[in-house]
Amino acid sequence: MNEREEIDGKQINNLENDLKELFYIFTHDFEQPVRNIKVFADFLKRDAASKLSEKECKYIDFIGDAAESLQSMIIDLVEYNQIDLINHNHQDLSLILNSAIQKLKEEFNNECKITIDDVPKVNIPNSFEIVLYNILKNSFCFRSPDRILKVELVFDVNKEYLTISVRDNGIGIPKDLQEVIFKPFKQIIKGIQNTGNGMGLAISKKIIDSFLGNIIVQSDGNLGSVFTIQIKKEEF
Amino acid sequence: MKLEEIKNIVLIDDDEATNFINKEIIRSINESWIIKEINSSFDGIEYLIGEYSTLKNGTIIFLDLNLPGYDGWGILNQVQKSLLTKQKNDGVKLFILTSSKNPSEFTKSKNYWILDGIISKPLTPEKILRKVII
Repeated sequence: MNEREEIDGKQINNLENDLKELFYIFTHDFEQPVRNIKVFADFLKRDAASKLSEKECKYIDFIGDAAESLQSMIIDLVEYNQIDLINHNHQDLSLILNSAIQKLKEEFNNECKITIDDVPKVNIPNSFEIVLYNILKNSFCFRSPDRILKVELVFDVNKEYLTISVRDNGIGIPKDLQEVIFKPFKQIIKGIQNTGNGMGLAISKKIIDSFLGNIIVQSDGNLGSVFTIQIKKEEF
Repeated sequence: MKLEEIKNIVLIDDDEATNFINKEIIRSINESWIIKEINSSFDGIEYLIGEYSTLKNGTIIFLDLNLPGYDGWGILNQVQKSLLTKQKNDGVKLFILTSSKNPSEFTKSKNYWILDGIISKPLTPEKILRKVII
């Protein structure tokens, strides 16, 4: 290593440490004041609502909503940043899948039809529960109001790869926006229900990337989408 | 456009609080202006493609740059592509609202014939008067 490279390396290390510190400040030190804003907005509403006009109450609601949305974005950012720290114990794919589906059913009680093809007997890192949960959640959030939600899971495993594809009959994703949905805090439209901040697919992609895998989406932008995950078996 | 010519304001922004604030600001200049809100990029595209050419004199449109789905530029791309009459409606002023301080956005705005300018957030009565009134 020559001198120049050594200096660059040091600078990158310093930069990395600075970023880590900043991130820590951002997530820990910001959360408390934000939470306080929310709490005091609620107190004000509770104690003063009878003396305030409708418009003044609306102001308080805006303060509370803004604090709440900032708070939930901070929580999501922490989760996104901690993906690398998840322990990657392995579990049977069908257990992981069932657990993800169970969570979703508790969260959404609307009618839906989930078809699951033969689940191969493989052990995968348990962080894939987060991936499967978020991809399936996407189908629930962006289902079409005109038809009962149908989700179909198909698996394929060969010597090299495990492939999981999730097909739904939701509202679909326009072609030119299909890359955007994997970026943090990006959402194309507000979904029907419990949509969140647009982090689910970003988190999923980050997990899949950490196993050098691939996630793609195909959609005609109208009648549903197919998410396909592919991971090399030796990577997990 | 002269102040007394302004009749209608259109806000294209998904954020309810921002629309609320902007309506207050606009009403502080003139309470009788009619304000229309559009809350998504898809509705914004549909509205502009369908109505832009026939909008009445004295309409000002404020388009948020940072919308879910298509951003402000994406909306303008689609609208300019789809409008049948590719001609500026002289009775309409269309502005992008942005919180970005990035100068490249100001350069970008030159590519859009439909656009009258960029306004940095927050919107204020002074900015409206300075940018819109000629």
